Amino acid sequence: MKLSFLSIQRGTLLVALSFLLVCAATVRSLASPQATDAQAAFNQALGLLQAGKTADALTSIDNAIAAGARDPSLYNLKGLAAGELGHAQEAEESFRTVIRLQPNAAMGYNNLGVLLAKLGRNREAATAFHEAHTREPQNFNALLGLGTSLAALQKYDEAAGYLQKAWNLHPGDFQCGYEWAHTLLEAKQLSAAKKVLDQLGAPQEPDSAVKYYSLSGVVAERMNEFASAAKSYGQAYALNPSSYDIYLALVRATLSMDPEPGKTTLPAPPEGLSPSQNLALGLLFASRDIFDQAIPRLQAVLQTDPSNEVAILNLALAEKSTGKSSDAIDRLHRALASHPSAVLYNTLGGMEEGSGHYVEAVQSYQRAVELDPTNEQYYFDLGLEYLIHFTFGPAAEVYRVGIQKFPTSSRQYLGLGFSHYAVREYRQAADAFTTALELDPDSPAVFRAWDSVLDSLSPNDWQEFLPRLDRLAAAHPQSAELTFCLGAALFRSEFAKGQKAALDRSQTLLEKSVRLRPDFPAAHLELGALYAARR
Amino acid sequence: MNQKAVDEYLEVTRLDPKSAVPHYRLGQLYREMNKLDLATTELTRYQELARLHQEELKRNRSTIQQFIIPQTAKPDN
Repeated sequence: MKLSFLSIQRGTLLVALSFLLVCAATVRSLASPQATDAQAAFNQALGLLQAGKTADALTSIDNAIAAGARDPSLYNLKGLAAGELGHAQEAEESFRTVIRLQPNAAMGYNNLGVLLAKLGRNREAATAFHEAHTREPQNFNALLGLGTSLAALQKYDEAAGYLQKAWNLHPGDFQCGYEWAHTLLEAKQLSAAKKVLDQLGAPQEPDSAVKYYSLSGVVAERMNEFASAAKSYGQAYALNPSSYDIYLALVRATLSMDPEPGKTTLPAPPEGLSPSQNLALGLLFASRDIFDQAIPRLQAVLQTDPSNEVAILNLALAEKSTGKSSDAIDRLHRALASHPSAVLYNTLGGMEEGSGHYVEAVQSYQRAVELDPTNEQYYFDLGLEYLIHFTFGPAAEVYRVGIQKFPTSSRQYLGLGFSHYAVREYRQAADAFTTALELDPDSPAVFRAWDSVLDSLSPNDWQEFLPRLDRLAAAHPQSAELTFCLGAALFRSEFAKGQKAALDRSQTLLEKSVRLRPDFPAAHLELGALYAARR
Repeated sequence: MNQKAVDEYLEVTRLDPKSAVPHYRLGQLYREMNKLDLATTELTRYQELARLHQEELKRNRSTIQQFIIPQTAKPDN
C-alpha cells in the first residue's frame, strides 16, 4: 500500500485582516471638511467592524461614500467588510478603487492580492502583489504575498527568493518562515527547508505549533530521517490528538525508523475513525507484521462495514499469522456463507492447505475458479494444489484449461510441464517448457524449469525442438540462457548420431553462452561434456 | 580436449560447490586420463554431495516441489 506524505495546508494569507486595518488607519492625514467627514465615517465603520458588526460597518461605509466621501482608506475598509461578508465582487471593486485613488501605494494591490489568493485566483494575485512590490520594494506584505502566490502556482524557486527577502525584513515571522520552509520543501531543497525551520523554532500558539511540527515531520521524512520525523509528528499529534492525518504520518514514520516496529509504543489513534481510516491503519500495521495493532483496526472496520472484503481478508491473514488459523478459517467460512467471493475462497484454500485440510483446500480453490474464471492466479493455485499432492492428472487438466484461457501465461505452461514431468512424460514436459520460454524468454524460473528436463529427454527427442530453440536464440542473441538452450539441445541431438555427430555449432553456441555469462554453471558443465565427447 | 573439459568441470565446481555432477564427470575423466588419485578424490566428493542432495530432496518431498514452490512465492506473470 502506498501512502502519501502528510498533506500540509499552505496557510491562507492571514495578513489581510491585520495589516489592512493598520494601513487604513495610518494612511490617512486629512485636513479638509470633506476629509473630516470621511474620517468620522471611517472611525465609525472601524468600530463596528471591530465589534463584529460587519454588515453594519458596510452600510455605514456605503452611506458615507454615497454622501460623497472619496477616501482610499474608506474604500479599503469597505473591501475588507465586503470580503468578510463573502461579497467577493464588491470587495474586489473596492480594492480596485483604492488602487485608482492611490496608484503609487502598495496597500490597494496588497489587499487585492490577498482577496484574489483567497478566491484561488493565484495568477492574478501574484500580479497584484508584484505591482505592490514594484511600488514598495521593501514592503513585507508584498514580498510575502508574492512569494506565497508564486508557490501556489508551483513556481517554487522564484517564490523562495521573495520569501527569503520577506524573512530578511521580518526575521522570525512565523507565517513567513513557514511559507518559506514549505516552499523549499516543494522545491526539494530539503536541507534548506530544515535550516529555515530550525531558525524559526516552534511557536507557542497551538495551531501554529501543529503546523510547524507537521511540516518539520514531512521534511525529516523526505530526508529519510525517520526518528526525527516520528518525533515531530508525535509533537504535532500531542497538540492535536484528533488529527487522523498526523497520526497516520506518525505511524508511518515510526514504522520506518524502527528495525523492530512491533515493539514500538504508539499513542492511541484518534477517536471516531471512519472505516476507511481504520482500514488504512490496519493495512499499514499488517504490512509491517504488527498484527496486535492491525487486528483491532480491522475489527473496527467490520463493526461498521461487516462485508468489507479487504478487511475480512486481511483480518483472517492477521489471525493466521498470530497462530489463530482456525479462527481465520472460521471467519472466512462465515463471510463466505453470506457473501461468496473468489478472493476469499482462494485465501481460504491456502489456509486449509496450511492446516492439513487438503480436500477442503481443493474445494475452496475450485470455488474460487468457478466464481472468477477470469483470474489466472486462481487456476494456477488450483493446479498447484493438485501438483503438491501428486494428483498429476487433474493438475494437467487444470493447466490445460488455464492455457486455453490465459495463453500468454508462462506459468500455466510450467504447471502443465511439471504435470507431465512428474509422470515421466518428458517430451510433453519439454514442449510445455519450451513454450514457456517462448512466452517469457527472460524469466530465470522458466529457464530453470526448461533446464530440469534437459537430462530426462532422450538425445534423439531434442531434434524436434531445435527449430523453435533456434528462433529463440536468434531473437535474443545476447541471452546466455537461450544460447545455452539451443547449444545443449543441439549437442545432445547430434551426440545421438554417434560417429556422424557434428558438434562444431553446438560448441560455438556453448562457448558463446559462457562468454555472455561467465558464472553460468550449466553452460560450463555442458561445454565440459562436449569437450569430453570430442576427444 | 581432455584438459579443456577438465577446466570447464572445475569451473562448475567453483561456481556451484554443492553440485555433485561435475565431480562425477571429473572422476570419470581423470580415470580415463589414468590420474587415479584425482579420480578417487573426485568420485568420493561426488558420493558425499550426492548423498547430501538426496537428503535435501527428501526434505523437499519431491523435485517438482522444488520448482513449484518458488513459482507461488514469486509469480512471473
